[in-house]
Amino acid sequence: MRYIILPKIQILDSFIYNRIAAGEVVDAPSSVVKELIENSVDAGATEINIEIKNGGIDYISVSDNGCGIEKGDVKLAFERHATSKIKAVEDLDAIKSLGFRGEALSSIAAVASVKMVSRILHEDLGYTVHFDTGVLMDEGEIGANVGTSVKVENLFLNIPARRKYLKSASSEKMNINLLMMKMILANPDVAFKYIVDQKLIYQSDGKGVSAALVSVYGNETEYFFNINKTAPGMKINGFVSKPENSKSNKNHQTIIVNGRYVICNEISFAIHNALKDYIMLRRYPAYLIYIDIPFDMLDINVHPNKTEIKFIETKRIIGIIYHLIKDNIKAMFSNVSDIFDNSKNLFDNKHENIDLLEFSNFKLDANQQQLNVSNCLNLSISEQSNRFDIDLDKINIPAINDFVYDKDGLRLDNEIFTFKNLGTIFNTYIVIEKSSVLYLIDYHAAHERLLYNKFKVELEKLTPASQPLLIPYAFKDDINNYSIETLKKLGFDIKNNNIFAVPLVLYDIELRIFVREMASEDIKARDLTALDFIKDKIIRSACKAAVKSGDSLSLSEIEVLLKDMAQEEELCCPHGRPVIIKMTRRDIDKLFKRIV
Amino acid sequence: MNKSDKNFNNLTPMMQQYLELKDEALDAFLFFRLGDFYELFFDDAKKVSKLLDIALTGRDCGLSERAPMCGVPFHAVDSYIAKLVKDGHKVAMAEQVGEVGQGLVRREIVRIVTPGTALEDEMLDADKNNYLLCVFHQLQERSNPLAANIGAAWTDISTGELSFCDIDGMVRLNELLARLNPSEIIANQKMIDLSINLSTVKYGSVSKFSLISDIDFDYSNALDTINSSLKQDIILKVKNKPNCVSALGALLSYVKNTQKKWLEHIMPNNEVESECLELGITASRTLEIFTNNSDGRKRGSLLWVMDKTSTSMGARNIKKWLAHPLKDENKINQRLDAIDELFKQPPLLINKIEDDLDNISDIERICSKISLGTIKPKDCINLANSLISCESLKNLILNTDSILLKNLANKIDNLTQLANLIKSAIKEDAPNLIREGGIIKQGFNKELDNLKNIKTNAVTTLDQIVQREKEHTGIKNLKIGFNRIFGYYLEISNSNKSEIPYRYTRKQTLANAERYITDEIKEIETKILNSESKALELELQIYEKLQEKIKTYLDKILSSAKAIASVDTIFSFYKVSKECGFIRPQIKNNDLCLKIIEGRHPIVEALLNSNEFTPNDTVLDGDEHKIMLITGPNMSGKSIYMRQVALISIMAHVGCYVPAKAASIPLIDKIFTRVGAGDDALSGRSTFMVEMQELSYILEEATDKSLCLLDEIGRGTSTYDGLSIAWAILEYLSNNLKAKVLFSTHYHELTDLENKLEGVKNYKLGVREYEGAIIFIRKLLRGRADKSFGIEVAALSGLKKGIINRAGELLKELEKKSLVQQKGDKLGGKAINTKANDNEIIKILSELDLDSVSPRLAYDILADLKKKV
Repeated sequence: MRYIILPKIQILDSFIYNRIAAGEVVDAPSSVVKELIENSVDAGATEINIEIKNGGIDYISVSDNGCGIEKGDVKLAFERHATSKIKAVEDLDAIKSLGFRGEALSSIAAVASVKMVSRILHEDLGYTVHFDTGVLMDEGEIGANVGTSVKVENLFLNIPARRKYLKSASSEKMNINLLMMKMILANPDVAFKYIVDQKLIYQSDGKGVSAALVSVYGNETEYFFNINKTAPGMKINGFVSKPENSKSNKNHQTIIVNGRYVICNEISFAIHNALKDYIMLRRYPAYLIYIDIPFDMLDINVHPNKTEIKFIETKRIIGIIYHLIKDNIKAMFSNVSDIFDNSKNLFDNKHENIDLLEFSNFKLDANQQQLNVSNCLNLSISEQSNRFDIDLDKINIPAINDFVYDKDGLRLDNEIFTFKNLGTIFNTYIVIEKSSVLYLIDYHAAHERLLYNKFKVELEKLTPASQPLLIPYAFKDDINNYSIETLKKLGFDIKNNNIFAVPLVLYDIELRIFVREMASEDIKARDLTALDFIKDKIIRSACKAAVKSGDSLSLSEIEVLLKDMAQEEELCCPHGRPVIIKMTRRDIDKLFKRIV
Repeated sequence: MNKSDKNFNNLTPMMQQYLELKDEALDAFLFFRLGDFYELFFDDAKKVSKLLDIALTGRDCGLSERAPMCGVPFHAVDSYIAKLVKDGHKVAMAEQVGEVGQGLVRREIVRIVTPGTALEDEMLDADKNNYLLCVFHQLQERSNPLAANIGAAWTDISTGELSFCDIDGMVRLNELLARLNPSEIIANQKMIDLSINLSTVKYGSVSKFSLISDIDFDYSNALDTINSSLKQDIILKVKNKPNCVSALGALLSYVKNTQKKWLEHIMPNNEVESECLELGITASRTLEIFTNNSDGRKRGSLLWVMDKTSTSMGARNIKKWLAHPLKDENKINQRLDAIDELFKQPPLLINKIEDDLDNISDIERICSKISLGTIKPKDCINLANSLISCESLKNLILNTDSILLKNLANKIDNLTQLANLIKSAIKEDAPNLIREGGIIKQGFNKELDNLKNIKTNAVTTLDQIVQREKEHTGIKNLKIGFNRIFGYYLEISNSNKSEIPYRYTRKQTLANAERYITDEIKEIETKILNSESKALELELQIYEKLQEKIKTYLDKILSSAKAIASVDTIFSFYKVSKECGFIRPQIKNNDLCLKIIEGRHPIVEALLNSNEFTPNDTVLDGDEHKIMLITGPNMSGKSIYMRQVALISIMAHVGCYVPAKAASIPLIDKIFTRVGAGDDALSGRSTFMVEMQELSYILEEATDKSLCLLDEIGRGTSTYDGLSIAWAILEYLSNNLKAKVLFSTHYHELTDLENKLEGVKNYKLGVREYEGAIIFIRKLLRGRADKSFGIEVAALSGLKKGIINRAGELLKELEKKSLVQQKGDKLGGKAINTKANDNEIIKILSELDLDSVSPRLAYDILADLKKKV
């Protein structure tokens, strides 16, 4: 008979279960940083300093000027399930603070060397506690700033496997950099200082959202447009990058709900939909959306790292955001209909909210300057001595006062309300003058957009027109059925891996490449839909079919184009580039320094 | 070998010329231009070949023996000269100035390069001034007893600054030398004799004094020199300072002699050097204002923390500002207001200011090159770009509300016209060697463009010719080439030799090819070469005219540069205040109270990780809180605390924000420090002596408005002696001055003085023990430290455990036997010992009138008393 020893069930020692829990809460240096910063914010800090070394693997320090922790509680903070943020179960339904689970510090202390120093306002001295992988190494009084400072060193030093599994120091550093961007944006009233390997990377002064934006995005801030709306039970304030400034990755998309940085796929998707007609494939807009809603309208207790959330009124929020963006984006692009619109008051040149060009950055090229200067230089060859007399003193660079002003300053035409079609330049742009505004229209982009819209409308019909192929195209690639169904709806006739007809608007499509792309990993892996691909194809077709830059247009052809364009609402080419630019007379006068 | 040698007449004419010039060059190494090389002969050659590590050869000189010779090629000469000058030597450059024709070409010394008159970039540090100092001493004339002993004048010809003043006493001279750190000093004999006693000279921390002839120092000669050189009428300023006149005149004539012409950009300081917070050399060093104390480098000094300037001019200027903290409340507040304004500006504007400052090059030094006529095309472009950025910067700061910034903006001239002229004239990528041409932009000068077109056309024609010839002769690999000796030629490989027509003239034979010319080619070649040389000549003319034009704007450029330097410095203060979280100090004029809330040591804080520095408060009001008596174990932070109080005060006086939560700083007139140990073996003084001398100086010079840092006075001698001296000094300070004093000590007995002396308050920097180890609390608290923890701190240092343990035992025994008890017993009164002379000692002490006794005398008395014990 074999004796089997029954394993006894025991309650795990806190030392052990802290290490187990650490696996979920502390998976990388960036999660440590996030937890510590959220603690500082909850403490009411107005200044938070973060310093990391070697990607955070060797050293992380987060110090704040918040309310601090009392002497007696400092050690207690490291106990599991210890928190000051909630007390009763009802609190869970309306979580106001960022941290609440009571797990972060204990988890971190279990897998690293942690030193905390904290001081409250009415004490002279602070109190410090030092844990090394769960073992208490020191505690006692020490001088300190009011607030709390936590230093985490040698992460995972007792779990070599985990430490090896960490990504390289530079990619961990990148993750923390991205996290810091979000933290700064999520807490615009907090002054952050973020130092990596003794170099200052970000510094914000806590003076509001725009200051926070500038500290993260610097001069690019000029390329964001603002959307906001206050509705009963919610407030939304956002910054979205203009379509032509979209990024190549999704790292610059930040959603902040009640001051907490979260990830909400539904909102991300809604924004993507609102902008997809204006942004090229594989480019992503940068955006920052602040949503403020009552605390009981959302549930944060979804995942231990507290980034996933669930809304109670998801659809309403998404709808608002979608429409906000769509409305605003129309305002960004000038309309050709303006040219025909007699009701617009174009004398009022003040404060264009949306400036399509930054003229303040326009620098005169010295090459251009020279045209003036050399014309003014008086050079004469003196034949007798065969020497050249250069009289630099005669240089007469025209001063402002040399010009003669018109009597009125402005020219008042009798034809205020009609526009002057001045023809084309570079075989690329149409030049229109209307009262005191100059319009430049990229006619290739304009035509492209017209064609694109036409094609899209056509394809979205219930029965789009099809063009049968002379010879059916057989393909061996493996296109999934869902895609095939979509293609059929768009006008493709596909049976048994044979294409018999294509949509009329895509008559010139390269089938081999098209089929290959439809079958490629891209569609499966990147959740691009067949529709997205088609859209790309339409753009290409439109681009090919449109009037090219370099082709010349006659005046009458221009008129026709303009009339067609006036019917359209949104004007930008399908790649997101603008179609029409306007320069007011005032802007031009400024360049010539007629006005300062 | 020199001019007066008997063999002189046997030498070749060139050697005679060399020796004549060498005579003129005196003690400088003579670089004698011979074609493409600079050569040195005789003794110079021997010395220089060793110094520069170049080969020593010989040359026929007409005598039986060859003359020693060494040389360097002309295009590499700058680095060699730099090396010699950096080592402290002088170099005279003799160039060929006459026409190369028959006979000996005429040569002249065009320049003497000395350490103090270096202008080349390789010899200068961008962020330091390079001063030439002239000092003159003569015994006071009886008719003018008020004339100071010493006159001094100094200049940095690379930036054009020029200053002069009277010096009152050796200490001041010492300070001037330490502050300027001139790379060259010239003086008269009497001054050199006197200088041996200067500590800076003795320590070798300043360059040697060199003698120049008395003629230049003569009063009327000097006056003439000054009048003829300087534009402004500064005679009035120096009328009452005859020694100044001599020094200044000698300085100017020295500059003239070395540069062989006058440099117009040198202009005297218009601003009167206002009074400033006096720091003294030891204070600067102790507080690590410009260099740190461990390795003498910039990192770890106050300058390192505060210098975030973007321009070289700013970097030089911030040093000056730090060396002269202001004493005028309004001026300080103006600077603080300017920083305040910058904090109010939107971040995008700040970014633009920063971009503009980054684009401004060292236009001060470029000006010196303009003066000398050595400006290179690249410098011109840099100047133009800088001027454009200056204008843009001016507009940006005019928008702020600060008086100081607006004043500075108004000093910046609008020189964009000049900038545009330069940019339209000079190519962006012009080569550095002017003589090769290719400097002037196309479109600037029609004639030049025409000449260049001729060349281009001609070259195209040549290509056409080659094509034609190829077809004509059927030789496929017919090529055209050019070299300096034969000009343009057609190159045909040997395999095609047979096809060559008669009209080709053979010019050169190579191993596998032959080169020919034709008449056509020769014609075109002449055209090309002609136009090339004309174009070159024209380019050089245009360039020279341009230089002349720029010269007319010299003083405007320089004054703009000075304004930019100040703007850059203020912007640097703003940047560091923002980054490190400094706040604006309140400057109090009629108040003695110094109050700092949560002050931090700016340097230590910057060297530590973020937020690791524990802040501490300070209250010193010259009344009840006059003297902070700080006790505590070693390494507890006493010295750092004391220094931070001084540094914060200095930063406030310089007009910068300070590292604290709040600060109220009164106007301080002097800061004294007596910190650290060190003996002066050279002059035979012990550590203790050094300390006592410095102390006596401090006690003499301190006023009610001064701040004194006294660190562990009394070390360097036995315990009781030291204790007594420290005690006596504290009593003196308490009774006689309202100066603010930070006094750190290991003598716990002194803590009794809080109850006895007015204004003395005890503070401690504590430690706590945890399982045998000590942990520094770093927080300054009121009260007295109980123990010294010397042994525990020694344990931290890694001293052998056995020694530590034994020391612990000994301490216990000594404490038992101790004649001076640890727990606060008084010194006076209780029996110090059991010897019979008790009464006598007590009598002496009680009769002692401290008010009438100087520390020196007190020391003597104590020494006496000690003998009796």
